[in-house]
Amino acid sequence: MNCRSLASMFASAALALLAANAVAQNSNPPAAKSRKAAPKPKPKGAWWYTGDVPPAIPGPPDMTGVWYSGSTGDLSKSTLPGQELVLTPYGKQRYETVDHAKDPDTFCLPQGPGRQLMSAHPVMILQRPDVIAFLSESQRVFRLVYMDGRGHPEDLADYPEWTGSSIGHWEGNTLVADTRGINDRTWIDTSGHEHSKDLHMTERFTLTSQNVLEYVTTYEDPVFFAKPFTIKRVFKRQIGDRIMDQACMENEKDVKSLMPTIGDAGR
Amino acid sequence: MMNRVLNVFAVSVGLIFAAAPVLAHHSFAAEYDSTKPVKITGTVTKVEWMNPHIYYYLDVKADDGKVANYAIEGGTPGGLYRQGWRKDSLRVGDVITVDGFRAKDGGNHLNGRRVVLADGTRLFGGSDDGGPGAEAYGKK
Repeated sequence: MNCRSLASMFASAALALLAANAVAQNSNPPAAKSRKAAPKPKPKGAWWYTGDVPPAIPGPPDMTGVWYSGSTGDLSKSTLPGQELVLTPYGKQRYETVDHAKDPDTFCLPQGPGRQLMSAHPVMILQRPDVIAFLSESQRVFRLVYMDGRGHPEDLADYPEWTGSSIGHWEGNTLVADTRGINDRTWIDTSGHEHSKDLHMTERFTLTSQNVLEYVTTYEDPVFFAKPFTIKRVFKRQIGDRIMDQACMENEKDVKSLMPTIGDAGR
Repeated sequence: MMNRVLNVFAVSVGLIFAAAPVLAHHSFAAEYDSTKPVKITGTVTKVEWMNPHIYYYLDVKADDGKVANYAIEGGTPGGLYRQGWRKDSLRVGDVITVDGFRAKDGGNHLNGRRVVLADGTRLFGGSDDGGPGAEAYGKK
């Protein structure tokens, strides 16, 4: 098998090197070792990079670090038990006729607040008491949750934002973010669920353990959804990982190859 | 010493198959046809280790002896790096085999899902984009 032939090549090279040392070494054969792979060298850096225990500081838990949950896929499959994504007649018509060749994400437009977190790229959380930043590797887009008691901008309805406007507070150990004013051109998931300017998200972030972050979010949009629905996704801390380079237009080749792909044909 | 050498190698190979975040930014089906699997073996003529997807190009000889150049889309550089790919995992002149799916717009353009490198190493080379499952191609 490939592994063995390569391993024996590698081992032969190592043996050749060892031969030079043979005289100085103890001639007893090495003790049998377990077949476990050698541990990777431990990363050097902040506790949220190395996986060490954070310093005990009073206040809410620190979610700072690099997290990963995987792509949104179809959010109707991530609803909590008893919750259901039910489309209005208008919402159903849109979902059945959405053209996947027009996914804003393919055109390097910023993902909305949920889709930029629930991604096959990791997300970094940078937490201060007065503002929390979510930095996504995908599109290198970011969003801010203001924790300083401010309200949404008064003219938000006139000036919606791709990432929405988010204000948050702590309920015990759960960060609750109220998110509105999301540009209605975003898709909430890869499968093509769209929304109106009235979409309102209530996002709950809870560290259930040092390396697990639960994201429980309610979507309300009477134009598209017959009733509010709540989804849950789990984020895992990516120890030793970092946000890597991404640049959507650097060598973009997909747009010219896209073919109209309507509704279920794209799922 | 040899056990440690072999263990380090095992870790490297394990890394190549380890699950890791990869790109999913749009529908696979809007561009590629999962009903049209293709398997080709050819010689690498160019590698573009760039965002948002890597591209590599293969000269493939058809049964009639004619050589056609194929453009193959892979995953995102960051995601592939996490899986053990490096920018020189593919080099011009390497003979590789690619399992993938044809682009819907015709032409010799594939989304490459599995790659067998010149030295026999098998890699998952695609994106986590809802396309044919990585599990089928040895990615854990």
